[in-house]
Amino acid sequence: MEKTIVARTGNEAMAEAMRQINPDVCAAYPITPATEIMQIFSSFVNDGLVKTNLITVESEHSAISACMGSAASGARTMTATSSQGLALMHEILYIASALRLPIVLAEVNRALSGPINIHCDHSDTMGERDAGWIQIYAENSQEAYDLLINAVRIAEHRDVSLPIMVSTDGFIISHEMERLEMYPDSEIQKFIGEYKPNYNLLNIDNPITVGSLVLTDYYLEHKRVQHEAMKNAMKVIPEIFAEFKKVFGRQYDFVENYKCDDADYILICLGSTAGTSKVAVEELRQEGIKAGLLKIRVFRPFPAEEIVKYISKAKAIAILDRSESLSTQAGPVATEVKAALYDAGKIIPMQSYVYGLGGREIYVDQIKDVYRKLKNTKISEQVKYLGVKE
Amino acid sequence: MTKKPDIKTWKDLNVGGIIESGTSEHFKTGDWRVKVPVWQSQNCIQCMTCWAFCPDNAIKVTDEGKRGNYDYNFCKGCGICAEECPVSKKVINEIKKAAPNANITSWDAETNQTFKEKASILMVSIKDAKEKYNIK
Amino acid sequence: MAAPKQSAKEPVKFIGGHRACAGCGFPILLKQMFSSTKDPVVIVSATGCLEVTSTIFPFSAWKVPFMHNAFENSAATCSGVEGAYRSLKKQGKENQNIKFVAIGGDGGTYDIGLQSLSGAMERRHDMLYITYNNEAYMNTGIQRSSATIMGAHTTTSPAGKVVHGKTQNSKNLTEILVAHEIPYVAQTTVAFWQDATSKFSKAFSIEGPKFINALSPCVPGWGYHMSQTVKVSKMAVETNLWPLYEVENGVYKINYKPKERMGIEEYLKLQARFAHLLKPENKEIVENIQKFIDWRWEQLLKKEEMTNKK
Repeated sequence: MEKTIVARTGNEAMAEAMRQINPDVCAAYPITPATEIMQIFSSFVNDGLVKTNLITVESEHSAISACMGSAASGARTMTATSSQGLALMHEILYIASALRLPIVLAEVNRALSGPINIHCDHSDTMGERDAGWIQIYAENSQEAYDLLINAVRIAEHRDVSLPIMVSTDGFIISHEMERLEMYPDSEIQKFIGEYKPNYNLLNIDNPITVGSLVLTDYYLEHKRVQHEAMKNAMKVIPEIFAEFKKVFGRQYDFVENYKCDDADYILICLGSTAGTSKVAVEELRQEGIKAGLLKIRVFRPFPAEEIVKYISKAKAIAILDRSESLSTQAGPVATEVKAALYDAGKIIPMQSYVYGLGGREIYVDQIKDVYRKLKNTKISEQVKYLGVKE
Repeated sequence: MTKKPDIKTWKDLNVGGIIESGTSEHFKTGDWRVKVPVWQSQNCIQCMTCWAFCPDNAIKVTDEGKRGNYDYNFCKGCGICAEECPVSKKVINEIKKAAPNANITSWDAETNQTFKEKASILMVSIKDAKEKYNIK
Repeated sequence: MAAPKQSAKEPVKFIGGHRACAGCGFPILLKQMFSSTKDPVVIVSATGCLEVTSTIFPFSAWKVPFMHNAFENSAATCSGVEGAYRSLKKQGKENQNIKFVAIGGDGGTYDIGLQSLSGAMERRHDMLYITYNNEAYMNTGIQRSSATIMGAHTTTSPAGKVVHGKTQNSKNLTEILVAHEIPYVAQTTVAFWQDATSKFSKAFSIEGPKFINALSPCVPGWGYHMSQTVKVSKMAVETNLWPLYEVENGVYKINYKPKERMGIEEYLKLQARFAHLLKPENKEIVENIQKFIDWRWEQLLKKEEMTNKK
């Protein structure tokens, strides 16, 4: 297959993916740093490059609400947002997943207010980790592009039928130009296929009632079904990824194992920091420290077994959380990894860190230091702040 | 008739919890009534005002589009039909003309013999509905 | 527009078995709405009495497609439904002629859903937004809304020893919608079958955004006997509290002008929510309500005159 090599920012890559997906409807509202995605996409609409009906709503709350109306009416539907925008959608995100509407959301990770800040951290998407959406974190523009295309298939799979968000790190990826391999429009269309909705509000002959009031007698059952759909996603995601590899040649998985197999010290993180960490791993290995990196790509459903598989032989683990739970305990990634290890009967020393909040830079040296401390110092049960002005 | 919903386990739910339309016909609200409307067809002028204002679709319509009897499965006994019935209004006016002090409304009209004979809709007690009008 | 005799022959779209209170106003309104078009209708509803009483799982009283999302977003959700329809139609995947109706109570429309409504109207979606206005948050237990009229007792504006019910006048939402300069805005209420059905018919015949504000009496919230719904609704019009009027492309038309407007006391005394106002010490509040109603009516007459000038 012919691949076009271009230079694109994360936002441009996501907008290009959206163009090639060519959804029936997009409803979105601008927010830094995701604004560009819809801005670029608006040009695609007005230049006639897509068939999409673009609904320029008056808020993110209305964006996701309109997306729900659209997806329930048999239209392939996408949106994009970030931070406060995602938080404003919060209420509706839960309804979208309960109604099993496969909306695809291009997310750009940005800190939540307050204080107000426009730069990267994961507090926005982590705040929605229990909303019943599939969550995928992209490390770079290529992943953002590829995973957004995969997302359509995953979300719309009959056994899944759940909304999905694919995120990039705000500014770090969204605004940084990188090499991007693009695939032909026709191949993308072939890969994603026609949207076949589970139900359609516009079916006048067999009218349905969507979003009914469910009381104590059936609410639990409705949630149990969602639980099952998420479990199905665990099975479906690798299938779609495998199919993607077959067509486009690039391998994806729930996690990325970067030299964990023989590693004594493993660092776990999400998103762009994985790129920085890979450099640290290489440099440490030259020093003779057996460092490894496990990047979690799919955070919902949570790939507990996959994670345990790669880290269970490590002497010590460091987990970098780019968001705060403010529970006085570790951040969400560390908490869930700990739970996964507990279930696997493994007790491995683990140092949890909070880092990079509000776009604070993270450097190779800092990450190397994290590894060295795993090796040389006593591990603290307390979560540590990396790079904070003490 | 729609199929009566039969959901035993979570596996029986439709995707997204959607439900087929019109299933409320299996949920009877007739037992909400504290008073029962009785239709006296011989006095009815077929204006369909009662049908128009019935919040519960409890007035059946015949195949010819005429007023039928009440659907007591759903009638909640609000009495709007009796209150808005033009025949009742006319009869009440007649009664009041003859006896200006008569205290009569469509709701408690069953105490008045003239009303009882001439009105199209009577609101009666559950006991009377059963015993005198054979309405269960 | 169709007389009840004709409408009764048509299939019913909102059936019995719903759990709205005995004597509730909005099912009547729905009947008037459904009697006003033969085209298929898709309903998108806000959270509220209408939605919770008609869709208690697994029972639905709707014979047409119905979607509920949340409290404040029926207009936005309907934007998406209409947006999808428009997209699919353009692509040749959809060939029906569907009417879209978004519906909400006064809470979901006047207050929490106002932004979503304003946005949908501004974007010129082809939809009819209907508010069944019962002048308070009835679904949560009769709390005051911006549609509640002055003096009314609600659970958050109780008639107390010092403060005697709601201290503010209601917001004029109909005029806010007129200011959106959409093709059609109207006020109606359940008691006037012809008025309501002719307005719904007109709204359905117009392409673009339409708004109908329908006063819908509430038995427990207003405190009147359940058989009096139509009567109370009528009285709201006879007192000029709820004028029947429409604004078509900016031109006002008052559909009914009472020969002699009834004093507001006649309306107040029908309802328990105003019982405290009838005490002699609250005479001033009643006078203020009356003044306000008369002022609003005068404004309306002026607007009618102004917009009809040749």
